[in-house]
Amino acid sequence: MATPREINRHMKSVGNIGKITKAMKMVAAARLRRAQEKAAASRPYAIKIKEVLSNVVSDPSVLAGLDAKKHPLLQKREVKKVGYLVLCSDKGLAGAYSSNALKMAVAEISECEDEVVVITCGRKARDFFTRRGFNVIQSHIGFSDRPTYENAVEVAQDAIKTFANEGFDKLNIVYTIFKTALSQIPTSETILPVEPPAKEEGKVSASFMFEPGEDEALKVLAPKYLETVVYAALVQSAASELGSRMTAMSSATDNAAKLVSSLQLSYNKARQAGITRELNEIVGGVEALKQAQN
Amino acid sequence: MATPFTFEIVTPDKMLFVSEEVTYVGFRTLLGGMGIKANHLPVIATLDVAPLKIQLADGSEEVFAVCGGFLEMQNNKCTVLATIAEPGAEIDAARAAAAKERAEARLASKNEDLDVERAKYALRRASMRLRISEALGKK
Repeated sequence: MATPREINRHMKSVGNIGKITKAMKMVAAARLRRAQEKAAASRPYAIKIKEVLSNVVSDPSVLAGLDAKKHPLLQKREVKKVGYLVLCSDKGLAGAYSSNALKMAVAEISECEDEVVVITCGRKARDFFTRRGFNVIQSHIGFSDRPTYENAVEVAQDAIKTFANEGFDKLNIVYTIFKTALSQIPTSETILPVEPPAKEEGKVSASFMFEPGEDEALKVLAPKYLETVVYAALVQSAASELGSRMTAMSSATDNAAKLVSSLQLSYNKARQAGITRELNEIVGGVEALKQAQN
Repeated sequence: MATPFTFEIVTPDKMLFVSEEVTYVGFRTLLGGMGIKANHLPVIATLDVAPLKIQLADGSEEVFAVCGGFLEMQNNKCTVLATIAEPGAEIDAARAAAAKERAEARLASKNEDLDVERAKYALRRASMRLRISEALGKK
């Protein structure tokens, strides 16, 4: 049995850990709220740009008449190499967030029969894939829990360049959709070549005049659209990471409190046992003295 | 009096500007200058890095710095989609001047690794901001 002193020391350290995890939980909660606001604020732009893109390509003749060489992003080619863009966290202590996203990515990759290259966002993903000997062609770090639009542009532009140089013929993105703080769903989507969103049914659009032409519009729109898709994924993943961290830290705090109370009990028991033993010794000693005197 | 219509500027971070009292929007497409009033035909315009001017029903004017993007006009609703846009009053002239110098230095450096497109784009953005803030300062 541990001495009361040892138990006391253990109790203090667990209590301190509890304080730290509680602080981390509150930080994550505050930042989660901001991340959710950001996700909401980015929605109108994403919706609008999708609408404009579908307006541009709503006329089938527009797509058919396009010069394929001018719009490499929309061009479907024979798939020999598949790229995976995996979004993950930079830091740990976020529960199963990173490992869920990575598990999803690995499952996808193992099903893929073509050559695979990996682009990672987040330190955890980079470390994971380099350690396992995957072909990591690009890695972005430093913004997993607070992505800005510029980060999305950077990721998207790098991907576009590689796609144009035939670094891969198709790009899938693996990210985590934020449902609630308790549930985040890893998802995979194809983002390159760009699949123009289908027109909503029953919505008759006016025929647009293009200034300068639909060709130029599409040339600028396609990369912009990709940027918004990447940005949406980054924002979702950031919210998931923070949500997951919040939940993990909250349960860590609860566990610490539970551990402290069970340690308190064994401390009290050990202390009481010590007192009883000392009493016994004293009484025993007195008895022995009495007998010796008689 | 000109008919007002709805006008909004949307950026990835927020709705920058919304008003239903706009009577005229002046902007520059990749081809050249263009202006829109109420009941314009549906149009999708690809914007250049240029100032965007609007006139409100009460006669006042506002200027925005828009760094490329799109303008969509449909059913008297005009939407500008821009990755980077800011109201003229919020332009930081000192920062823009510094950015302009930096971009010029980069272009002059003849470094082989230089991303010329990017430096030129930065230069255009900076000089547009400077032009706007100068114009506002004169008033």
